[in-house]
Amino acid sequence: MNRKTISASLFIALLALFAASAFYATFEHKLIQKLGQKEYGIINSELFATFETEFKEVVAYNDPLLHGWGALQYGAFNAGKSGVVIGEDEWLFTKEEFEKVEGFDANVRANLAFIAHAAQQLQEEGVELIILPLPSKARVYADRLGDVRAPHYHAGLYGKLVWHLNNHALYHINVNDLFALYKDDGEGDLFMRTDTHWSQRGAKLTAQAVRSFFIEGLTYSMDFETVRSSAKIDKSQSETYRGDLTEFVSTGGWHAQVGPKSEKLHKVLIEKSVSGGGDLFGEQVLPIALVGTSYSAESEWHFADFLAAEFNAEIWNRADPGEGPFTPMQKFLNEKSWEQNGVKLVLWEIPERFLPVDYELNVASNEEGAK
Amino acid sequence: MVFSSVIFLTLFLPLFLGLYYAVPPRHRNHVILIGSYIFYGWWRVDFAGLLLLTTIGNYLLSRQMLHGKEKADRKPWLTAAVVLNLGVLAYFKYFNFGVDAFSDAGVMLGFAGFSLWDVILPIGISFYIFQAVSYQIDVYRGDAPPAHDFLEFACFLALFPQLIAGPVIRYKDVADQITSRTHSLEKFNQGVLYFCAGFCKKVLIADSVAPVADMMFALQTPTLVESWLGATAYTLQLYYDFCGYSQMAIGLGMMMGFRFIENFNHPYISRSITEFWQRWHISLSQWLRDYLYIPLGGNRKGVSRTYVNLFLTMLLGGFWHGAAWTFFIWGAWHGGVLALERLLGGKSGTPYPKLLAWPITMLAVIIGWVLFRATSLENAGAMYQGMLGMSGMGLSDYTDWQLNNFHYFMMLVGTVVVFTSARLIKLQSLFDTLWAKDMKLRYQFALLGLFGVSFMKLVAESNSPFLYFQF
Repeated sequence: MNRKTISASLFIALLALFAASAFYATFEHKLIQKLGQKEYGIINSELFATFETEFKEVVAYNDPLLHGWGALQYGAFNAGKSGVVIGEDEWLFTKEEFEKVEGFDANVRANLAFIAHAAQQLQEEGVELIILPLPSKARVYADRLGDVRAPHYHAGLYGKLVWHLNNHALYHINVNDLFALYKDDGEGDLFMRTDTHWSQRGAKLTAQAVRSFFIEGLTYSMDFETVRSSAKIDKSQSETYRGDLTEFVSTGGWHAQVGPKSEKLHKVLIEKSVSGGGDLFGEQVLPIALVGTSYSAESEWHFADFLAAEFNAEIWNRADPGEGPFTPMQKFLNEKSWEQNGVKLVLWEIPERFLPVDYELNVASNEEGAK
Repeated sequence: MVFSSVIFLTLFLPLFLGLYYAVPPRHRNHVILIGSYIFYGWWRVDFAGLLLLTTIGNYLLSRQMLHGKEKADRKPWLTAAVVLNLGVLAYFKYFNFGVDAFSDAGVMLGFAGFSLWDVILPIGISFYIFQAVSYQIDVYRGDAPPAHDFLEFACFLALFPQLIAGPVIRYKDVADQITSRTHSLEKFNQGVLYFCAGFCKKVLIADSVAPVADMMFALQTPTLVESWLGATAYTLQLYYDFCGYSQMAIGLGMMMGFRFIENFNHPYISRSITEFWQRWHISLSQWLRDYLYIPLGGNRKGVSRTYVNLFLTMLLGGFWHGAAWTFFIWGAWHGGVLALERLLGGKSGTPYPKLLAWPITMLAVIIGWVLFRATSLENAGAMYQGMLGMSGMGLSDYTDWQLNNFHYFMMLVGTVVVFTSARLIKLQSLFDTLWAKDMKLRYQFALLGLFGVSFMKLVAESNSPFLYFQF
């Protein structure tokens, strides 16, 4: 081998390795058999496109190279894939809190109208509603954005939402003000550093605020107590956690060297027992329904558990991850199953970043709600 | 299928080359033909059928043409072949545009708008139709011997390295190579270096600056900084994407024993638009010169007619790139500047003052690329307004959060490499394939290392299709 042939030799060796890896991936993962299980178009090459997609997923070098590039990009340039905005000190933010989607203003109007419509419908059914407008992580932790500038078109979103709730005399808790009080008290972050969601502490403080508001803010009392419940964050027990935003900064096994570093997710100790008046085998009464997003649906944050502890009541969790806050409410309204479950109070968490998103909601009267 | 894809590099290419070198030399063209149709049909089997029909039709027409002893006997067949080829191109490429244009004109005149069926644009059709036309004309003129058989002709037209995005190969340039070509490890080595250099240009640079261009061209009112960032990013993206692709095509050809013409020669160091078109997409500009400009009369019919021919050639060349008014005006822009340079005495050298020649030329090129990239005339207008500072100055909230250090770094790398004088070979040697024949070992290892990084990036990120195969 000399300099006139060395690259050829190395390239041929590389191609041979690729071929071996490709054959292994194809036959080990039975790609051809998998494709045979469904009908795919051949004339439009749907079969080949599907094979290509499946093939890319199973080749052996996929993850190592993905993580290698992620580590290089993050380590050398403090950059990740589109979808993440990287602040300082390894704080990650979702681009949803920065981008101006198509139909931004119209979508905000439509979603605000839907909120009023949903509230009216519940009121007509005699169900109390408390809305929890959740501020964006970039708003609460604007000081962790570093050189990144929060865009002006998101700046007024939370204020607009709260104004709308006030204007329609809807019960709500200003979670932004709440978080501002506790953010720098040294007891822990209110949002996860590498995740789009709040932390367990953020969820617990919100649950406590809901209970306080319920006792002090509503004009009549309801007796929900069906269980004795407690939910305590145990900081002495924790596990390593890598947030959902690390999907956009895929450093894999390199994260210890280049970051972003993992976080700690504490264990939440939950105790429940049936209180007087109810029994384990009796009809279940679910007086409190929780509607919302992954903030409520995902078990990591224990929001439903914290609420259950505050109200000593079972929480009927109707939150859905990945659908925003409005679609789960639409489903909840359409099903009307609160009647069977004896729901008296609905808690509805609405993260502000979903306000500008188009959910193609079926609102009885957009004009009515927008008033 | 595209070159910068996992499936091509890790499955198709090893299998193809393995089979190519395993079979006896007399069957290698068969392997090329089958491989090329698999390559093309991976995108759409039905349009591989169109390619086959085009091939059969052209071959039969050329055989008929060859029966004629005199040029006068052959001309009707040539005319039929050219008209049919351009008719196919017109239908698939310009039907939707034509319908929309007629409909818009009707609406302006007070009639109701209308729409017809949507026609899918087959990838690479502009290239293989042009190659088919060049074959017919070259055979008619006697510039090239006809293909010995259908296999040779089909191989020429379907040869996958250049099938979907050029270089535009003329039959006379490859006729003897299709019949008989040499293979050697040294030639393969050169091919590998060409391929790797092109791959790095495309994946590492073009694909990295593309998001900046996309970001800025998506703005409704880009500011001064945004519009210039976007225009510069696209200027870099288009060069590295297309030049990179051409180098990959040349490299793959070498791996199979072919030598194709160079398609780019440091176009961004040009000191006039005339010189630019001698360095940019060389195969297309030569095609336009030989099959359009010269038949129109070239510079043989007087000064004014020369300007008209230049203008018309570039106008049609612009339209070849895409069925949209922006491409039309882009072609007109270049045609106009070419004619102007001719008027100023720029047939050779530069008509501009020495120190201003390069900035004037780059400005003209960038202005043109804005039209080339814009999604509409309004989009182009917004960019031009921004470039003049009429929509604000700095980065707006829409883009500030999207740009990161990696974007800036790759813009800088792309700018340094592309604007470095061709004479500074040492700096460019990683990408300058003039040295591929005897490149120093350390540069080869560096290039292979960069190829590895590029492959890692490719796997990590979603594919971004080549720009020029939309044509």
